[in-house]
Amino acid sequence: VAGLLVWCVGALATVGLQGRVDLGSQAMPLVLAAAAVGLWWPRVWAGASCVVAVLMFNWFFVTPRGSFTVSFQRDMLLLCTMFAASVGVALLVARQRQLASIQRQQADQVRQLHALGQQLRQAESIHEVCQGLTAALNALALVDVCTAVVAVQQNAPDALQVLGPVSPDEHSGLTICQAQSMPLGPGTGRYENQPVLYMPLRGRSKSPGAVLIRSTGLPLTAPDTLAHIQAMCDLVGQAIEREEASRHATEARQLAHDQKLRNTLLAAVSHDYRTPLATILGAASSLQEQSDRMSSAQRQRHVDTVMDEVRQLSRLTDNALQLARLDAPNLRLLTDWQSPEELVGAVLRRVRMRDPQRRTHLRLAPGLPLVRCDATLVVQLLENLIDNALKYSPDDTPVEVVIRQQGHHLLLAVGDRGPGVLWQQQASMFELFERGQHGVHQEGIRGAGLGLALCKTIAQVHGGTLVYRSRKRGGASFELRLMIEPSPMVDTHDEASA
Amino acid sequence: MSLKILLVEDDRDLRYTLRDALSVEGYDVRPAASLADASAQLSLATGSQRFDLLVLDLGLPDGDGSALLAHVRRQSMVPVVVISAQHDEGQKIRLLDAGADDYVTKPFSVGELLARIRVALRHRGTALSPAVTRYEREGVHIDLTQRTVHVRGSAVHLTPTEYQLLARLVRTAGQVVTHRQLLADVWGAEFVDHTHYLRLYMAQLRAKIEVEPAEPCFLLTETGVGYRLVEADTPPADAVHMRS
Repeated sequence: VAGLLVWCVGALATVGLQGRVDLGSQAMPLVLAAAAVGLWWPRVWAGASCVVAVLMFNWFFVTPRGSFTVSFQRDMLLLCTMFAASVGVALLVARQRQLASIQRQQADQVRQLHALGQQLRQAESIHEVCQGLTAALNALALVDVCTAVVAVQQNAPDALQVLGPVSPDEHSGLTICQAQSMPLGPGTGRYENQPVLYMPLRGRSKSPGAVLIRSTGLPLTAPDTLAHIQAMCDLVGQAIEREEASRHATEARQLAHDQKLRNTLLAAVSHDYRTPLATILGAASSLQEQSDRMSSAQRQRHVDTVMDEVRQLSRLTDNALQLARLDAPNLRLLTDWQSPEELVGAVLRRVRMRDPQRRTHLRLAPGLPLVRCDATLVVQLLENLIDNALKYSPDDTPVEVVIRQQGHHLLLAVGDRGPGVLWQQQASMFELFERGQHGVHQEGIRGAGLGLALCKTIAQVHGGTLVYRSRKRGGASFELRLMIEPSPMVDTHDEASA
Repeated sequence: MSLKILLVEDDRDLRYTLRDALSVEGYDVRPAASLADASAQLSLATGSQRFDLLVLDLGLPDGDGSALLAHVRRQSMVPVVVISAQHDEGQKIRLLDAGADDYVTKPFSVGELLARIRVALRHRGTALSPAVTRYEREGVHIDLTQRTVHVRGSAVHLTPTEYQLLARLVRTAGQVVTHRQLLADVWGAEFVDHTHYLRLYMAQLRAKIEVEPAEPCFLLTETGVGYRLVEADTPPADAVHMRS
């Protein structure tokens, strides 16, 4: 319409100039108008409009008027120039317009691909990936409404998992398309008679899936449209491959982790359990066979040995079981508000049984806030640390338990005056089944590795930290830090004494 | 005549060991190796033949011991001491709230089990026998009828809530009381999830009663389960081991 309007204005201007200027100048508005329509009309129309303009000019204004004959050579030259100029300009403008439109379309496509890529990176499931593709296809201006049915090759190598309703024919179409990694359907040069378009979701080497595109509008046969759709499909294919690769990697990591845990527990059983068992068997068999020749003090010592070793085995078992439990993927902690004083009180009550000389000293800061934690786990952690401190330091040195607030954290530290941990081992001692080197040589010291790994895990599941620090005047210090959250309010309306 | 105990334990070695240990203490022990066996013995023992206490292992070949506990609780208030195989605090709490009197966790010492049995027998049938009103141990004297608390010679003043909390523990001295039971009995049913109340009031009570509040000797913490007031020194006359 705009083209027609411009053309008419040009024609009117030409009529209006009649008699006021010479013929050459009078032709100019028409030439301009004929060329300008190239901005709106396709190339052929623009060319035709130039021909019509020249013929009309010739008919109405060039002598003899009312006929196509030209009497003067000069007028002939004018008409030829006019024709060449208007056609040339119209064609150039139209061509320019077309180039701009192609560029715009390409920019749109690039933008769309980029957006799709972004969407795919954030997608969490294969379903989301497919929804992203369908939405992108629908956003293509060329297509009215289309539905994409995606089929992916998952788990089973020979079976396609189709995420949507398809007919048996369409299913085999998807299978062929995926297996051959080639598009088929109208415009692709293969199976042109198919009513729908099949595109492979191409990955790096093979296609992890294929997509079926039903469109209600114009068939998607234009080569550049098909290329664009293929580019989008390739993005999806790569996204599926990426997802699959990361899933495989996670599975492999999990498998390796499980394997390591199993090995650790087996190693713990074979190594740390043998000595207590041997000791128990020794003491018990000695009681069985030599009891009548023993003094009552000797008998009592054997009985005490059996009791000690059984407790040791029991702690080892608790540690191993707890470690396995904390490793489970759907771990649920029984967290509750706990008082640090109460936690350490429960630990000390148990520790005192193995600490007859009362080497364990507690330094508890007053007015500590409550902390949210799983009491059983934190008690087990502290018990392991204190046990280790008692075992790995000389009998006449103190073991200090310090509990105080440190900024937003509650610090629970267990320190001894033993040899400490060699710096080479400080990094690895929290790893599964490591052990202080001195432990190998020193008698009666075993099984710290599993315990420390458990302690670290307990700290981690609480969002806390457990670190080792060498003490200034010698010895080891293990420091647990737990986050302090705002404590809940307590209604203490009855402050009057009973 | 000895007190009669039904010992429900499927592991043969542990059953024999416990039977011997309990027999030595003068109890009349009837062992049962399965739920069916235990149910049969329970239904046969009526009137003067009825059991005075149950020791119940939870993992049994023909079912979970907690089913038997529920069955027993529907019929009588006979004390039940549970043997729990796992360090599963949730399970212990469920059993205690379902009516078990106390528990021991495998592995346990005979002394531990005997102490639990002794206390459970002392509190048996509290609905019939007069409730515990006095508590004495190592310088701590609590008299619930007089509402007085004396610690190492001097009277201690408690706030009403502190007193109620202590009184609740005194009534079942020696037995574990779950957080839930304590909160429901002292603060009311709507407070059963407010364990932080217990932490604060227990700390106040310990500060008034214990010599070293950080290492309590009276008000013990059963980590993850509840609290236990240590058994009194001299059991009241109605809770000796033997029937007259």
